Amino acid sequence: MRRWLLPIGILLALLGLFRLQLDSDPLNLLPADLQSVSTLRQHQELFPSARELLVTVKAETAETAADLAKAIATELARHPDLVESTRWDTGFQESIAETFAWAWAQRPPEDLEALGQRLAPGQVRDALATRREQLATTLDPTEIARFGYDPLGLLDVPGLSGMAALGRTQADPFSSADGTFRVVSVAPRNPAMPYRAAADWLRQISGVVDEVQQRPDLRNGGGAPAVAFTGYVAIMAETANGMERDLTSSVSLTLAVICLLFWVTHRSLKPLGWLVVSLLLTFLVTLSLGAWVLGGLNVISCGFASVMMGLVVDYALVGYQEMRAHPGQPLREIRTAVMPGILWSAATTAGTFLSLRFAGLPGLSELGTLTAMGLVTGAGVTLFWFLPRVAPRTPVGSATSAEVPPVQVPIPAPRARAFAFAGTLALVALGFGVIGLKGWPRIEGASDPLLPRHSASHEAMEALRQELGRTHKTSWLLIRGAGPEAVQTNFAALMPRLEHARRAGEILSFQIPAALWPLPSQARTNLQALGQLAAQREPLRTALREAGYGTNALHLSEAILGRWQHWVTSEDGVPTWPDSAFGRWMAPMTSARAADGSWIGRGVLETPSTREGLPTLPAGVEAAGWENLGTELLSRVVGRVRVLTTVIILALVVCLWLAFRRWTEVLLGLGSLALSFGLLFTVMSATGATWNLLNLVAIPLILGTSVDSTIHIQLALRRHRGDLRSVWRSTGVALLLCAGANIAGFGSLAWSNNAGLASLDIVCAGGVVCVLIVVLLLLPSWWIALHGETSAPEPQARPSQLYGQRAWQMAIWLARHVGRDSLALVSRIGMRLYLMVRPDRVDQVADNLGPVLGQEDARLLRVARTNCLQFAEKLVDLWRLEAGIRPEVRLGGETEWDAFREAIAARQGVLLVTVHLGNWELGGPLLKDLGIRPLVLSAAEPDAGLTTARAQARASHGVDTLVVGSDPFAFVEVIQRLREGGVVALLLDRPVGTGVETSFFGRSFVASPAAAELARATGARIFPMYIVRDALGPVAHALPEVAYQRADLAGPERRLAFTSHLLATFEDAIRRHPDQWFHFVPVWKSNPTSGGLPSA
Amino acid sequence: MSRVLRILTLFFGLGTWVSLGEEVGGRFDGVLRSWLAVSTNLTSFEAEFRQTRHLKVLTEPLASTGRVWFSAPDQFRWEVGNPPQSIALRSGETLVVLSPRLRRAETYSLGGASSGPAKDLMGLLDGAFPRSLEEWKRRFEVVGVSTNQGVLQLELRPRSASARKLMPTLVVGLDPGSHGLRLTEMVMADGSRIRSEFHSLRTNVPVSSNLFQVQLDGSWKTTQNDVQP
Repeated sequence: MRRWLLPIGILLALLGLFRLQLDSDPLNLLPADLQSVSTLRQHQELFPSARELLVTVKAETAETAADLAKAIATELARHPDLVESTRWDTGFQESIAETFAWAWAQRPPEDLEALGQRLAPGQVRDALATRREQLATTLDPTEIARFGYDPLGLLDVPGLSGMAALGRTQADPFSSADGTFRVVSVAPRNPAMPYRAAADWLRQISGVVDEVQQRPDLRNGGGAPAVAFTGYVAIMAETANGMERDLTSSVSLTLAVICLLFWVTHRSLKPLGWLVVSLLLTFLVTLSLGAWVLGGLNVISCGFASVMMGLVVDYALVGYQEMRAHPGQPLREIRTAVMPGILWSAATTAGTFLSLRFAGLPGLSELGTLTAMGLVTGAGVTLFWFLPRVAPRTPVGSATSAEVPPVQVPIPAPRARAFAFAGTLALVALGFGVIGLKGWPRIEGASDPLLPRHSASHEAMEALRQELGRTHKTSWLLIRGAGPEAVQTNFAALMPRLEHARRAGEILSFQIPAALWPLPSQARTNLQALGQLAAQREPLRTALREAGYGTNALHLSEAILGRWQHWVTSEDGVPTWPDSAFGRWMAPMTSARAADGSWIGRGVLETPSTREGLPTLPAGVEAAGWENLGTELLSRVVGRVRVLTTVIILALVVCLWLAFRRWTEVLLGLGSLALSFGLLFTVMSATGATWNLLNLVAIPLILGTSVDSTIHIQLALRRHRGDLRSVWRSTGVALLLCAGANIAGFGSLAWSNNAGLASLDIVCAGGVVCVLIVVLLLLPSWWIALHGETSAPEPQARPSQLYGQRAWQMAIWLARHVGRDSLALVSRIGMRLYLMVRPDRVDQVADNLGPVLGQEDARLLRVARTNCLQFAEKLVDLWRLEAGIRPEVRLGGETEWDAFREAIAARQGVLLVTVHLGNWELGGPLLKDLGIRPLVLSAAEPDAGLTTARAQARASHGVDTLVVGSDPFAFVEVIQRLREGGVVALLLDRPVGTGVETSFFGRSFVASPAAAELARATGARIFPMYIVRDALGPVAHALPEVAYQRADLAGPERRLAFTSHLLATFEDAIRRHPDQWFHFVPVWKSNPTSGGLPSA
Repeated sequence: MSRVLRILTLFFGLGTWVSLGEEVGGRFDGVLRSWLAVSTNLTSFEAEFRQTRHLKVLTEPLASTGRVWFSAPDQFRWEVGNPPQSIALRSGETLVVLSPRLRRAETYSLGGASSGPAKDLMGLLDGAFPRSLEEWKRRFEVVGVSTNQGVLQLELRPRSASARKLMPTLVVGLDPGSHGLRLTEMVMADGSRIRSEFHSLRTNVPVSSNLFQVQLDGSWKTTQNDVQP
């Protein structure tokens, strides 16, 4: 089965990569549930002009620009395989008669009636005389033209003020005011083409345009006109190409920096090669997963690769470092040792990135999802692919550990504490100074961060806006109605409101196509009136001639009357839209049909650049503009970031508490993060950097990814008792390397073409640097200031808080009802989970086992972890014993026990001494079988109830308990019991009361002097024993009796030596079973000048 | 027909624009400086005029009379018709065109960034009263100078392309001796000409500032030309 897994995986990955799409539509970066986003999307889908290519031409003279624009439009129109249609002007020039004739048809009947009266034979002469008078006196040049060429006033369509103003103020959508800038719109044959096809299409169009530019007839001196491409297709193609570039360049840059860091640290090619391959494999698998889960990448989420690599490389560095530190250790053990840390780190960091799903922006959400998937994938690839490939084929001796090059880093002197405190003050003062002077970094409300930074198409669009006078914020108005008449009704309701908003300064201007809106039912009603007007052609012609008008003045009137006559006589009547070039341009520009058949009219709203938001609009009207999105989006993102940050801070407090269990260290962790952010804010303020839609989410990201630095450094400080030099050498350097990789990951996107992504990653990289500065330089000195460098608190001097009466009784209840194997499984799983939360427990056990196995022993961590799991097994046996289920305990060897049996038979007092090796409590039933009721000397449990409960449980299987320390006469009872030939059991390696400093495994060790004292007092025979678990279950071993002369124990020194001797009898057993010597609190004396350890 | 539509289109600012000759340069600076010297010494100018409109659409020219006032540096008032049918008032950067019969007032902000053929052309109405050679040259170029019927005629071309769409040529007629203003003639895109001949000239006499103020009651319909309702 396993051999099929790899091919299937590769196949799935390839299929995923095959279906991967790059989504270059900026609208897909926005939350679809926002009303304005939904409106923008509908606008994009419903109005073809929103999907057109715009070719802009800028020339020195208006003639050159117009000639070239016309030639480009004409030439492109000759490529029907590429182009659906082209436009270089509105077509109004050749459409005036048709347009105004049609406009009259849409008017209310009373307007036509008034026109009929004005043109009636008895009235028209007066009208013409008035027109002439106006023509003689008007100062307005447009009126001179209109009155001259339209003597009958057929262009004076009531309500067509927008059209009348067309020539006065409304910008030509295809030309700048001076004519030197022209626009050609090009509708692609396939507007829904994917981005690669769009890029190819654009190249072909560009080729055609280049050829046009080379034509000799268009070279009329002066500089060559500048041609640019913009609009939806150009932006989409350019954005997608930019994404591809971002993806490859950021990945390459990150890999290069990672390689550099790795080479500087390890100078080994083979692991470096596998590291690169592992990262690329992680990248490809994640990309494939992304394709399956998300369907593709967008401009923001394509930044996942470098961020993910910068974080995943930490896992590989940790694994490889572990391997180098323990060269003889088998791969499985290395993996077992590093797996919890890597998985824990991957889970927490992935969780932080997954929180981006709630940031409110789909682009960021996908970035977070992909990075999280990449982190989990990377953890798996590191553990099961990278480590096997860099592990040595044959184990090598521990001497190779010397090959690890010592890392030379500047190590702060102890006196650096004062310097670091001064640094803290300096940082705080700097922060207050800079922020006081320059203020907090601003939050920008614009939606610009969602756009490319350096984009020819966006620059062309900006130039177009400037040239056409669109310098303000533009929003589209979508006015809906069941039919055109309903839309017109909504126009009528909307316009007064907009006019009011204009007067109030809320908007600058608006354009509603009310005057040129089709009303088919009204047009049908008007046909008869139009026919009557058309029938007046000859009398009107006569009246015009009599009024002194030449033939020039008649053409327009004749044409309009002719159109009316045509519609009256044709079967189709008045067309829905003017049957002219202008009408064909105007119809899709101003109207659309929704999928449900309803009509949508499109208007335009201009608001001041300095004003945020849009006026309130009536029902049936929606407004949205890219430039107005920023505020709404920012409001949403700020709200989400606030919640996210709060949640993450709470999670951090929990994490820090679980890691430290001390509020001082929790507060130090939080304080260092707070100062790091203060530093980041200071740098941003000093450099003028601002917060925006995207980089705001750097706050929770930095918090989530940086908290482990504060944990690592403080745990290292604990481990090394505040020795800064050791902390630097171990954790400091590792953090430096990991931070370097993280900064490379984030920083490589600083050159991203997407402004928001670049700013997000710059802030993240800057945040990591700030965290590093504070955590490495200042946090240690704070910690030492609070705990003292040499009197650092002994870590974890207390047993687990889970060790209490309630939990114990629950476990006993479970032991009574659940089988041993099941309970053991649960217990082991529980222990693994506990160790994920409290990895320091393993460190502590490893510290305790150091002298047993040798400090440099590669097995130390593995044995420590096994020790913890064995303890889980021991607990099960203990619970079962106290639940009344007697375990089967074998005897280690028949002869081992002969002397003990003989002493019992002789009713000599016997002192059974043991250590915390295996499960000594299982000896109770064994002694009971021998008819012995031993007395166990025990320390009080963490709570009194538990002490009583455990004593009762022992009593139930024939063991008396004496809690030493609670009764000053306790030892009298013990001596009495021994003198009467009883059996007393006690533990040597955990002093009850004040211990004595002895030697054990060559190290200073605080042990219980009770055995020596009792021996001197009673002369009892002493038998060391222990019960450990092997493959078959518990087995009891009796060590040879320790003989002594009572007289030899006269002085304290002699008793101390005797205690050391007693302990030494267990050294071999402990060496054979280091995984069952259970101590989870420090046992080795670290400060010889201090007194004995308090009893535990 | 198509020619007519084309010309009409020009007036709506949506068509092509008329091709013009190249820059003449500073060949006529001597004449300009003499004119400018007179004009800059002008604190006020008041005259009556007879205006003749030779329009291509009419078989006969249209004639009207009017008055003009100018007050340095940038105030003027044109009245056409008697009683006035059209009044153009400029004060600073604001130009207001009044149509008393229609009770209509249109305001143009000449200093605004936006432009358009009508606005640009309106901005040239004071072209006959130059105050600074450099400033004047930014708005016009001299195409030719000739003398016709005892009048020194400067043929000018607006530099604004959009203004040229409506009025390719402006002719300013000066007294050859005093360089005082004698006539203006606007040549429109379709060849129509609007000629204003001045008489009863009075220069540097006090002009009431009220002449240049716009005082409208509620019966007037006002239009701000820079915005599009």
